[in-house]
Amino acid sequence: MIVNTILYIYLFLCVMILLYTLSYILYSAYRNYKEKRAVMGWQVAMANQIYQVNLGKGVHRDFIKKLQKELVDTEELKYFEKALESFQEEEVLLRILCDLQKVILYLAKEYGDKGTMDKAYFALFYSRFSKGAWTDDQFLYIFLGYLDQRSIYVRDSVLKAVISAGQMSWVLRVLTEFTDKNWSHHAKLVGDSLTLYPGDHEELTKVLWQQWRRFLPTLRQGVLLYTTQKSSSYKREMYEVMTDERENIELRLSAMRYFMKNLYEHAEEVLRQYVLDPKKGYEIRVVAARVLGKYESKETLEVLKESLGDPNWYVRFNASEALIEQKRSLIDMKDILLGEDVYAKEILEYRITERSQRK
Amino acid sequence: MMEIFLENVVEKISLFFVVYMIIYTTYLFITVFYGAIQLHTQDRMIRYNNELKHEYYIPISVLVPAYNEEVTIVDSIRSLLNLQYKLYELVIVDDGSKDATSKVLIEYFHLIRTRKPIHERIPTAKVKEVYEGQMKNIKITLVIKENGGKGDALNAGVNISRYPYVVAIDADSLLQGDSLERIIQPVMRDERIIAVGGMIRISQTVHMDQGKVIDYRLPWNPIVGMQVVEYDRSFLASRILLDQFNANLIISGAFGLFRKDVLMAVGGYSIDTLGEDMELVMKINAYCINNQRQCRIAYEPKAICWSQSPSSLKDVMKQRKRWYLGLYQSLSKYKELANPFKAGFSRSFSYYYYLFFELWSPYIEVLGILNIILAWQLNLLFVPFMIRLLLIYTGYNILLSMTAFLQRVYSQGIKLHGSDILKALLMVTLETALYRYILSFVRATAFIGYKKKKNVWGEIQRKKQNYT
Repeated sequence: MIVNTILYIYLFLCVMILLYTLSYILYSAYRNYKEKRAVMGWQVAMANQIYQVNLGKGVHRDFIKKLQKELVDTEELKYFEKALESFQEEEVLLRILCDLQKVILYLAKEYGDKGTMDKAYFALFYSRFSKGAWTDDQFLYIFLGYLDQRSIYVRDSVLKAVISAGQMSWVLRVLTEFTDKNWSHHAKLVGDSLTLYPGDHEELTKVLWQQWRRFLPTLRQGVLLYTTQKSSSYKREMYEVMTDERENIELRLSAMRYFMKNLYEHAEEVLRQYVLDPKKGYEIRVVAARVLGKYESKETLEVLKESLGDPNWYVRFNASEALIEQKRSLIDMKDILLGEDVYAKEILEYRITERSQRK
Repeated sequence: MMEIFLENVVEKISLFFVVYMIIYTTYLFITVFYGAIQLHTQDRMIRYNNELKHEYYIPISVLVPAYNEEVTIVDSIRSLLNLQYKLYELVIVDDGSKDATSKVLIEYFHLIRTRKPIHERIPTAKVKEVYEGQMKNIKITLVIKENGGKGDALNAGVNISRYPYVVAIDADSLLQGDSLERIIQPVMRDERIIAVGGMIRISQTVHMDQGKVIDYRLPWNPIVGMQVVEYDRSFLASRILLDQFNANLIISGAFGLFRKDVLMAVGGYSIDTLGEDMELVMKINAYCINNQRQCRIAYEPKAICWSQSPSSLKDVMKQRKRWYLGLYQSLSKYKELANPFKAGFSRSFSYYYYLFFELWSPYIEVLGILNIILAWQLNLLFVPFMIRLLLIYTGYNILLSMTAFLQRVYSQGIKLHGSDILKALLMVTLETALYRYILSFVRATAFIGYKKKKNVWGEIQRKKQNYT
């Protein structure tokens, strides 16, 4: 009997879940319809403001009031964002955004009391449309307040928001906050977010490097990745990281890769030593072999040729790739091709075939 | 005296069944209930862009093991060339096919034979030839090797791949355009995550174009239709729930991401089990436990792979027999997962779930039938009660399956045609009233003629994909 009762209860609950699912599907169909109309409404309102601004007037007070009242609702903010997307190319958009700073500040505070998803979304909205127009310092403190809840999405969105504001001191502050709270963030995400910085990248890298040692390892690696993409002025600093035996291995590898893009004579010599030194960790030797592909000196050629017979397969593989990258002639490599080291010969022949096929 | 004893037996078995049924129905209920909660959460996450959306992620090697796949392989590889991901390579391993799998690939993608050296970190059957080519800036490598089974083919792919993460997919699978981006995101979220399973859906229901689903229709073929609703209820809902507790012990071989160094550390895929995908995840879990490494297996329902399901009953039966025996082999091999003090409560919970409700369930069902016969002999059977119970249970399962189906369809933004809802109702009813009993029979008889087979591919009849 008890089974019967339990099944009846479950049956009833199942009907409820099914009804909930169905109503949710119907509601979202209605929401799509509503969204189209709402986005259109915001587009019309924005077009009016653009017209006003083009006439030399400011953004209308009623429009600001409407924003303040309605954008507190995350759904409305979503509609507004979609409407804004269609005005991305408008020259006067920046002027309008400047006029909206106060209302956006108000909204930033309001969203601070909402859930993590809403906060993450607001920060993302800010990162997409601040365009250097919303730079009041209060934004920074509000966004840092968002970080209280340790959702990775909030963290990532806040990072993007703060960086895209274009204020160096803000970037430094948020990375320090991450470090102080011990919030590790994937280096790739940090490096990629830093590229969103709308200002002078050289200036930002300079400021970041001044504080670099203070950050968490993943943040430091993010800064290394960012520097590799944006600046060629950190050879000395990267060299120090690369050669510091006590340093985190991932950081050292990232620093080594920097020298693929930015050639540095002192690094070349050390890289050659790394490749040939069997006591070094295999990752160091493997990456060093690959980076040397960019260095075409005679000594490096000899080291790479020697590495083709290395006991480590990955060192051999990368050394062969490096040799091919140097576009060496077959005469340069004839001693390998005619030699007795089967492994070295095999891998080099493969690379030569690969190169000829690419041509 | 004997009669009293038998009555006691019937009573005890009935009591056992009551408890078993309550636990199972509760579990099913919780999975679908959790699905309903997730429906709203996931919907909001997508709407409010709560995802780690970036330009660059980590390079990935996509491994495609193939055996007699000449019908579907070109479409599958074409679909893989349309992924929205910055840096990845394709490694196709032809495991000694008897048909023209390699030939169609070489011709269609203009692959050229090379002498690429392979670092055999994991031993495999002999590699005969390697072909390479490039299309849309994506490197394609074809490895032709002697037959060694799916696990062996995947190991050969791991050996030749160059990137730190590998994605293993079936040769008949179609990946959605954003699936690689989605499947790597959990790794960016939490560095302890070493493997991620994607969501597998049945490809006979969709028409895809350039990595996007342009039409979805439930097929009239009841075998395929029933599998669609079965996948939605049994596998997907359950995995979403288990993921919350780091309790997933299975990543489908049709679409899973692994950290290559971990794969190599555990010795790659097993070549002497029938369910190499299941075995691998259990092995990784055991590796983490034994080496006291903090690692997680994640499930990403937004990373979607459309995979071809068997379309005849014979093929389904063959497939399920293989799955069942694979489950048996894996559960027997990694008994350490049963110890909650060693493996953790969630992993052990999952282990016992598979043990009681998957591995032992057909025998428990047989015991139930025997009990009914015995009760009938002893005049203890109350037929109206039994019929009512069966009807309620069937109705309950129909409702759950229908809900799970609608949840999945909605959460993937698929537009349903009116006729599909009717078809879904029909399939759900057939699946609940008929199909699951056939599968129970298959599982109950799976050990007949069982030998610890090696190097076996699950061969099913392939159909051309709906890919343009």
